[in-house]
Amino acid sequence: MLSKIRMNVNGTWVERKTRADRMLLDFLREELGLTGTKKGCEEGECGACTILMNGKAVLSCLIPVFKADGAGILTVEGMAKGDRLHPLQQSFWEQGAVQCGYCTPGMLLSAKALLDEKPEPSLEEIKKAISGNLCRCTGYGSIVRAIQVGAEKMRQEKEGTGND
Amino acid sequence: MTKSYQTIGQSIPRVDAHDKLTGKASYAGDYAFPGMLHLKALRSDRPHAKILAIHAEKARALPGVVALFTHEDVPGKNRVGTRTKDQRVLCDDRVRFVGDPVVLVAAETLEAAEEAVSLIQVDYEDLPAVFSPEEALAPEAIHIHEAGNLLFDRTLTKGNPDQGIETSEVVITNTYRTLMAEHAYLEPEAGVANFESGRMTVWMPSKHAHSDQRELVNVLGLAPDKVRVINATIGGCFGDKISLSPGYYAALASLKTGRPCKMVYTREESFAASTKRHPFVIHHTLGAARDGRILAVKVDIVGDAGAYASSSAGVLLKAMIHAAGPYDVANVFVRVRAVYTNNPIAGSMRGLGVPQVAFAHESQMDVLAERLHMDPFEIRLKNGLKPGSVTATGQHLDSSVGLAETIQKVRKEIHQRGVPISSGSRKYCWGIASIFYGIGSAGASNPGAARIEADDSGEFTLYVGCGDVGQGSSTALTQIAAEVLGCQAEKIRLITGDTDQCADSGVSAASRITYIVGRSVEMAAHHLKGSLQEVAASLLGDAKEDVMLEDGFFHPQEIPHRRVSVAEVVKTIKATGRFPVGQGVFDPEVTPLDPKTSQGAPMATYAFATQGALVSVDMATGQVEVLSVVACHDVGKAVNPAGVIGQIEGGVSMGLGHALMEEVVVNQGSIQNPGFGEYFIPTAMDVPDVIPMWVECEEPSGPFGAKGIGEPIVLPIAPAVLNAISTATGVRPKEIPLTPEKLWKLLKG
Repeated sequence: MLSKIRMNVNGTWVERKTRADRMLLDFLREELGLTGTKKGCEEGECGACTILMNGKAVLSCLIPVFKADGAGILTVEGMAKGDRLHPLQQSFWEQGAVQCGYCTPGMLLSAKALLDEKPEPSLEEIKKAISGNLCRCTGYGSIVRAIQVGAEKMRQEKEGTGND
Repeated sequence: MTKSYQTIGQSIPRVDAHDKLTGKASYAGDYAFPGMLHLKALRSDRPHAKILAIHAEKARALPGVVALFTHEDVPGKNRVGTRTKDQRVLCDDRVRFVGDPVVLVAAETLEAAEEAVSLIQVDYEDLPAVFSPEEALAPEAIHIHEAGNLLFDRTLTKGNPDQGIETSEVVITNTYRTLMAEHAYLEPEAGVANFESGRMTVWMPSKHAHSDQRELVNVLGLAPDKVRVINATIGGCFGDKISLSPGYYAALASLKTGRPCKMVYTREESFAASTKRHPFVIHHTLGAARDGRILAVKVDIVGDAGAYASSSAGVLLKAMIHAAGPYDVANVFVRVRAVYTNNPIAGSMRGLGVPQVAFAHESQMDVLAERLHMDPFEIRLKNGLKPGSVTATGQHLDSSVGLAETIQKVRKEIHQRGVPISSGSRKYCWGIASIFYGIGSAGASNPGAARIEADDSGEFTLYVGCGDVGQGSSTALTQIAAEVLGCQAEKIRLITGDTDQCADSGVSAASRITYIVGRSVEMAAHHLKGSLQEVAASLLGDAKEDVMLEDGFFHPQEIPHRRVSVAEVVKTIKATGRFPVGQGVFDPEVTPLDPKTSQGAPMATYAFATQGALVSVDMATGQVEVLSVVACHDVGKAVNPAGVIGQIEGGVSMGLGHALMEEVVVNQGSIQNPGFGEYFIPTAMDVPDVIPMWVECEEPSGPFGAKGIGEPIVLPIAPAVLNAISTATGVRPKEIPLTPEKLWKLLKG
């Protein structure tokens, strides 16, 4: 039984007929072709599938697609503005926070959710915000530094433009 | 004297990061083709059984199911394995572990494939199963494979170990155990294959595309030129991701159905099917003089290989070579054995058996230091390998031996940092450990190969067979080529892991890529530069040796404005019908080990390291917190310092997992914790402050002096942490992982 699902993904409204009990992760990857969001465990333990839903970091492998009906979704594909990387993407690159890259999209979005809410987080707050995102390569040090630098870049950008 | 370089030694941003940061990088699970079928395997739920019959009628009749395959459908050889080919793509008469694949289903949707698998009935006749090497080696034990359960047995003898122990004033004997660990890369195994116009193309994460291509040729029964393996972006491997994996099943199904096929393991399936770190039992005897000089070491190591051979021989061989530690010991005896059991398969994992032996030899060193009331740093400096030393295999080390420097640097850093004052039930202590690690395959030829081409725009394309498994090899190799060719890294395009386009550069393992493949890249770049230089010189009317290459232009030394661009040189060469290309092959010089004594020079170079860990132990509960880790590594030359820091921080994290947290719990051959909800790897909350340091004792045969860094990181951390705990508590743990419960029991006495 297919249901009509409508959501705003990376700034564009999309509408698809799909099985309502499909997981949002599979919907994004298979029906919209947005494979940047990764599947690591399908049980909400690894954080690789983290996206933003209405501004909050959520695990898309645990959310049936009907729960996202009408929602605003941000995936890693929607972070850069054209060729201009998001300050967090830039800082992850500069700080060497990407190794195999499989956790990277989820890390970026957990970090963005944190910084959107708390532009000047403490070290502990950063670690806590990404504690649900596993990384086997980096040992998290470079990722934490990248979030600190990214926070600074985002603040500067905000001050520079005077708006969000 | 340190030379100055343009790109080498610079933390240039990773060349593959942009695509990974924007979601554009394609991992195998991201590939999709129109008309693609989805695959699912039925795996054994028995540790050891005969297959009597397979009832698949219901599954076959399920709507959406396209085909079912058993071993009878494997057109070529139904045997795979990196060394000993004892593993079946699909089991024939027997299953040997819980997770052995029996039937493969191809269906229009993954859901249909999964449902079909649940409808298949297999009649088994259970066989006696063995779950430990001790049981498996018993005379009456059932043979898991025809040749018996002893898969690998080898000894090393140097000097007169028995006499060495007899003449020792202090003899320390202990038994150490390490448990089974999971690689836990974030990307579960995946593979996509398409058989089209008589040719098979397989996209898969592989740590050695050419090896998988050769295995696929055998399995599929196709001619070698009909199979192409292309490395997808690899989401971590840590020694795994080689041989039997979804790409093999996708290829088999695509060959049979003529349609593109895809298979992705679930996390639970990945736990069941993938290889593990070998559990080791290590009996270690160390004899020393009263002044702290080690006189003899005798080690007996038994590794649980699980149901199939995989890389067990290589792992145990490397364990044997390193069993005496980074010390100059005149008398050494080591026996290593790998034994088949009906446990999950053990294979190669970051450090190849040496993390296990490092735990043993570094615990022994601290026990010796305590016994003799010596400083742990001093006893290591006294015995440590230095230029002119001889290793346990009798190898003379002439250069690039930076162990003493790593010990000194860690000592200085730790002394500066000091120790917090213990309060209440909480105690603080530093512990240290040192290691050495041979770079490359042990005692065998393992060449790296590279090809580089120059194009009309004056840019370069570098082809290497090895994919970047996440460690940053693509960036390091790019830097090496850029340095030789006097250009920015952006001018180098890199093609990796495509068996059609790239030469076989060997496996992305053994910490060998920067050293071995890097050297072949350096040679290829020099080769190309030489050809270009010759033509440039004739265009400029100068002697070849007077012309230099800088930022895309050749010019005579001292006269930068009289110049000719690489692009023009390339066009000139092409006008004569030739093609500007450079090739390089580097196979480090090794002497194979003597079959009886295991004496020889198995590795062309060794990495050295010392790490210190500051721990806090709650004496009441056994809770341990690692607060700081000081890690100093002799890397030869840090090609990309940010990359070295990333390896150190990541390796420390993985090593801490092994030290304190990670155990694959197996009951009657069945994994009890096959997921991240039960198998805990370190999170951002678990990792300490890491202070990365390195020394650069350049390796003359390496590119710009570089050696390797990937694996050595994970070796010293567990013994450093356990030595700290032991000093803090007065009890000596002899098993890793040391969980709070185990420590609490030890503390209770």
